[in-house]
This record gives sequence, C-alpha cells and structure tokens, in this order.
Amino acid sequence: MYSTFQRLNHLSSLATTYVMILLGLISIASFLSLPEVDAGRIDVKDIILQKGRLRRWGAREEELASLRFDIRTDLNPLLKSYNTKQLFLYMTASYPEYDPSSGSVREQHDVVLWDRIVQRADIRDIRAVGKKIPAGKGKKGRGNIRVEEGKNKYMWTNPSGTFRDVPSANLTLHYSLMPYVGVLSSGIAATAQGPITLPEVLKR
Amino acid sequence: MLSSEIARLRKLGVQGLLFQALNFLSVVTSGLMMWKGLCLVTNSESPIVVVLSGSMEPAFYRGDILFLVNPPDVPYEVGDITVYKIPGGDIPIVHRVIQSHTTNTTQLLLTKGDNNDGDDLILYNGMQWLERRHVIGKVRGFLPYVGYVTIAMNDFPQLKYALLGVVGLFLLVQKEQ
Repeated sequence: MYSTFQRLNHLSSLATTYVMILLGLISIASFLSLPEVDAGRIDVKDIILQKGRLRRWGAREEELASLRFDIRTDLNPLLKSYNTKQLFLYMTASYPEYDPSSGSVREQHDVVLWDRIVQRADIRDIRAVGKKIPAGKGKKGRGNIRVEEGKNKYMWTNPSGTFRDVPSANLTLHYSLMPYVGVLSSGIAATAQGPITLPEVLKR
Repeated sequence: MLSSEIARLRKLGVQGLLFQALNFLSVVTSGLMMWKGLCLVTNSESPIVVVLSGSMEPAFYRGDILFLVNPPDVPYEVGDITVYKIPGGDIPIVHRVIQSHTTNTTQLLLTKGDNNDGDDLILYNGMQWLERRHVIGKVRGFLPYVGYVTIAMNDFPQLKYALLGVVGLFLLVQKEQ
C-alpha cells in the first residue's frame, strides 16, 4: 500500500494546509472585529522656535521648533483584542506651506515628532514619559495612555529651513497596530483641539 | 530502494522520462506564474519579502514574512511601513516613513527603523530623501517565522542545493498515481 514516506508527506502537507487556513481565518476575523477607539486629546503646552544646526558641523542654520505636550487617550479596546502584538504610537504634525507670492499651497508636509513602541507585555499604564504624575490622579489601567509634558523626540524642521510660510499645523496621535499574524491596521488615537500656530523665532 | 528506482526509470523509457521532465517544468512555471500574477495584483516588484534585519524589532524579527502592496496613484503616508531599495544597494530595507513632503509633482520621504536611534539618511547612499520610485511597497500583512527557511538557505547555500536536488529527484522519480 502506502510507504512511510508517502504517509509522512501526506500528513505534513495536510498539517501545513490546515495551519495556513487557521491563520488566515484568525487574520480575517481579528481584522473584521477590530474595535473602534475614541480619539483622545493632545494639549500643546509650550512651543518655541529657534535657530540652530542639526546633523553636522558646517550645516546651514535652520529654524528648529520644539514643543511640550500632554496626551490623554484610552486605547484599551485595541489591547483587549486578541491579535494585538504591539501598538506603535506616533504623533505627527501636518501642515501646508504656502507660496508667499501666489498664496497657494506650495508643499504639504507630514512629519513625526514623537513616537513610542507599546508592547502587549508592558501595556499597563504609560506614564513613564515626561513629568511624574501625582498618585491618584487620572484613570489607571491597561491601555490608558497618559503623557505629561512630553517633549518632541525628533527635532521639528522644515526642508526650506524656515517656518515663515507655515502659519499653523495640525497635531495628531496615530496608532499602528501590529498583529501576531495577519493584516496591519492603523487609526487615530488622539487629536489636538484645533491647529497650533507657530510663534516668532526666538532672538539670541 | 535506489536500485529498484533505477530499474523503474529504465522501464519508463525515454518517453516516460520526458513526460516526468514536463511535469517538473509545469510545476516550476505555475509557481512562477503565481508569483508574477501576485506582482501584477499588488503592483509591486516583490510582493512577499522576508525581514533580514532587526531594525523594526519588536514588531518584525529576522525571518518574518511581510506581504506588500503598492497601490498606484496613492501616495505613501507617514506611519506606513515601507520596503525600499536604494540604487546601488541590493538588500531591500523595511522601515517606517517618518516624514513626507509633497508638492504637486514629487513626494519626498524620510524613513526610520522603529528600533533604530536615528533616521535613515546615512542609508540613502548620498541621497537626501527617499522617493516613490525607490519604494517597493508598503507592508499590509504579516506572517511570523516562516521566512526563516530562506534565511537559513542564504546562510548555508549547501542546504539550498541539497533541497533543490532532493525536490527535483523526487519529482523525476515519483510514480503517477
């Protein structure tokens, strides 16, 4: 009848097929049942603009923006989802740069100012960033993201070297969900109340 | 076992051998067709890639498989995990877009690995920005561990030839049911 080799071959191919089907079903089910999250809020505390050099000696001087911000959002539903391996949180500034002569939008910019990897294991309560929060203040628990007076992790610069033609910018905190297996998804975790305006450059 | 197989091959004759070779070729070509079909559907030159470095840990480890798409006319966004290839460099790199500067005609991108301290400017081989034409696709799907087979085969080329030889031999020798 059948040889040992044939039996082994048949068994392994059957096992592989079923595991693949199962993984496919898991990815589809978890993608379809992905929970909605309410967008939390970002409060910008302080924003300054100064001139400086980045990256290397002898580079041209450019305008550098730095800010402090608070974030409050609850990503609990996402973390309860069984196929969540990691959340990558990133705060973007999105702003148009206008052409001063014609007044039309010359360039649309999107830059990441701050990010943070949140793994399933260390998702307790993210309070390690910025100032220490007094005990008993705010909601505690898994996935309750709270950043007090966080600083931008990446220096905020504009390719043209100046923010002169940039009146305002929108800040948004996005999440990018990494599954154990299946489809990657992303969404908005928090937004700032209205666009932020960039101040005058600090004189030295 | 081997002598009986040789005896069977003798019995097959030239026509039988050619038929087996045809079988073998059809397996290879159907594999190629599926791959190229996937390339067409996803609009990406390489829709399935294996992670080769640890720069996106803990999201992606060495040996994980990524499924890419490259939708035409849809610009890449900040936060997308892209796979790009710099002219002159042969290894595709899986990193996240952290800056995008879009004018009417061009989109300039800057990328960074989640696990890296700095951005990718030093990887760009002298270029200041990444452009769309360098990007192979963005990651849509994820399958862990499976790609380690290919990494093992790259690290130990003998394994690759041994595997290819064995598969070829079996396809040639296998009796039609």
